[in-house]
Amino acid sequence: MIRGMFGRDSITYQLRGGMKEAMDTHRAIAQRVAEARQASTSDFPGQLQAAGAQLDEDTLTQDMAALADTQLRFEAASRLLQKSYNDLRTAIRGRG
Amino acid sequence: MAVARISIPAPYFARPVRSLLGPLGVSARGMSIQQTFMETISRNIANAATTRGANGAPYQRQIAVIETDPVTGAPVTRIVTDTKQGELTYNPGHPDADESGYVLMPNVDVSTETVDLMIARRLHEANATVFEAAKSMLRRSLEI
Repeated sequence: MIRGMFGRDSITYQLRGGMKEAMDTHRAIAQRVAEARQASTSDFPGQLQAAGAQLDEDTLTQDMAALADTQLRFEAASRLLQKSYNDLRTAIRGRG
Repeated sequence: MAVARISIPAPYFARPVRSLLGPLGVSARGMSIQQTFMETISRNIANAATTRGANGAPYQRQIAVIETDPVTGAPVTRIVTDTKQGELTYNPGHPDADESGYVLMPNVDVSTETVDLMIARRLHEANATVFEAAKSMLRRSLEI
């Protein structure tokens, strides 16, 4: 019975997995944004690098969009997990 | 080429907390890096008209570059001096003018610095947004 509540097939286990996955995704995005490089625009090689940095700019925009998505997924998973725990608590106490 | 190394150490957290606060540390390090960029740029702009520095020569532009430390793997900010010569401006009344009346100006282009500043600010904002997101996720997980 306990396994049914907290085991691998339980909804709480899957939601926890979802939250962990969102955390890992967030960490990877944070790493990429922190290491985004700035090209110097002082000379011709610098300007070439800056033109190439346009791609980095696109990646940054994609990363920020992925961040918003990850944040929403985390929020949803945590709310559902909170509700599941509340339901379990109610079932254990036998009252609302 | 004069080089000064500024090492930004990776933050250390006790193990249970490290996994939760990891993204916060990463974003904080990213913000520190952009801070170094902004300091370098503001130093260049402040000295855009300095025709005589401590060594008697015009100010030379400094550029911050990010490298990965081969030992620790942490990003390291390196300050490199741009040795390109500045423009010669005709100003016979200037105290630093040569016998022909030309003054050697610093190799700082304010518009270039402003563009670099905008990029640094944008990256700083991106890191701050990621930091805020990590903070709100942590707060949410504490409410379960």
